[in-house]
Amino acid sequence: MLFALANKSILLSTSFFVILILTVGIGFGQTGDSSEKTVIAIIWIATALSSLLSIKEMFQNDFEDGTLDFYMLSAATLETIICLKAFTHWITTNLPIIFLIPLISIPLGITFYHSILISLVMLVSTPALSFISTLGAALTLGEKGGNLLLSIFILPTFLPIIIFGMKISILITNSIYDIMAHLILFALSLICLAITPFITSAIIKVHYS
Amino acid sequence: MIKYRKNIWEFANPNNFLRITNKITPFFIILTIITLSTGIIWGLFFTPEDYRQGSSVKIIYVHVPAAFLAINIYFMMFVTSVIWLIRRHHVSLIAAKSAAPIGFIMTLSAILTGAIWGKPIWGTYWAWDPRLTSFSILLMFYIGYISIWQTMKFSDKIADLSSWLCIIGSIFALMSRYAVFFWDQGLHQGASLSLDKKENIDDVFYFPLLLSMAGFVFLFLTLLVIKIKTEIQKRRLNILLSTGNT
Repeated sequence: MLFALANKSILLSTSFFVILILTVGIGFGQTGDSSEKTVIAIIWIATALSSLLSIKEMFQNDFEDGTLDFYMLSAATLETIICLKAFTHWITTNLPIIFLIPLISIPLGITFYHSILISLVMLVSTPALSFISTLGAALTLGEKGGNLLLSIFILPTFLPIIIFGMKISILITNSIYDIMAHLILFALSLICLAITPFITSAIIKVHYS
Repeated sequence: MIKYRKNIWEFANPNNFLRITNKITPFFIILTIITLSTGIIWGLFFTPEDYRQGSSVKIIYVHVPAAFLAINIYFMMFVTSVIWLIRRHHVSLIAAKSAAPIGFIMTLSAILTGAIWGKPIWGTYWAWDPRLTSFSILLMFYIGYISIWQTMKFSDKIADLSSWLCIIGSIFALMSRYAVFFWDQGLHQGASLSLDKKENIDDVFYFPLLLSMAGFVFLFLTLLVIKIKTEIQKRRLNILLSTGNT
């Protein structure tokens, strides 16, 4: 967390998000198609891509300078540390984006009430993205040119969350809205919290076997 | 007298595997030729046309077996990856590795034949229908699994990583499947063949379809066995070359 603050990676990921939304928005603006649906699609894809951007830093530095060795030797289990890592990743990349969504989506044509609801949807679903990201970070640990490989592995695994999230956001803009929708996404996040730390720790142990 | 084998794990020894498959492979090839050719020829030339779909119904004899294999090959890869992680049998790992490109081709051919069939019947090559979407997701997971083998040099570490990737892929492919089916059942019709349903397709189409499915399964098995044998020999050769003993 402190490292992320010191490294200004919060600024990086949020500015990446803003620039991505603006460029894609401008691109869609030229086609004359700027309905709420396209704006929602842009927001979701930009969120997924900007959390993809910072996955690589999750374990890489710790792996290279040997901090990860100490994590494995320490009394805390590796799963706990992975959960904390995912949580810090969520705070540093996804939480600023969630605060930005009302600011950036109102000029793009989403009403204030809808944008607040959409950022609530984001709030409950983006932890899943962070937890899934730990899988990719562990898989490409120590690979020099692993960035492309990482996106090949990780983007398809974001799909369940993106599909559910986008469908629910579309329902929100059609004013068919139910709190159950949030619960489904929160359940997805909890499933990821339950599964991914164990798989990630198993994958990290592979690198040390 | 035939020696009684205690358990299935004896096949995991590469030597046993090679010895047995060397005997079996010709039968597999013959069976493939017989079932595939009779299934396809019977299906394409000796079945009536559907009253609504016309002759385009005949693509079912490639489409359904390919789709059936695409899903089940991924399941097979999942099982063999788990076996590799638990019991460390190299044949099992090589089976997963060799099955992936075949499964990729099967997925691709299922999608392509579906697109060819879809143009006259649905009026479009592609629609974001749940089944089509979940197949494109399956294709992505195949690409991910193949790319880990293509880009990294072989080692036990990469073997473990690829097995974990396969497990992650099967979890998330399943999740995506339920995510896309959650909202609507889509344009695509239900399963043509299922054991627990009364309403299957007509017998006229059913038997040639079963034959061509058996043909595809044998084709897969033949290709898989040949690929595994090649891979085992390749790894032996690499070990010989690296140690310098000729």
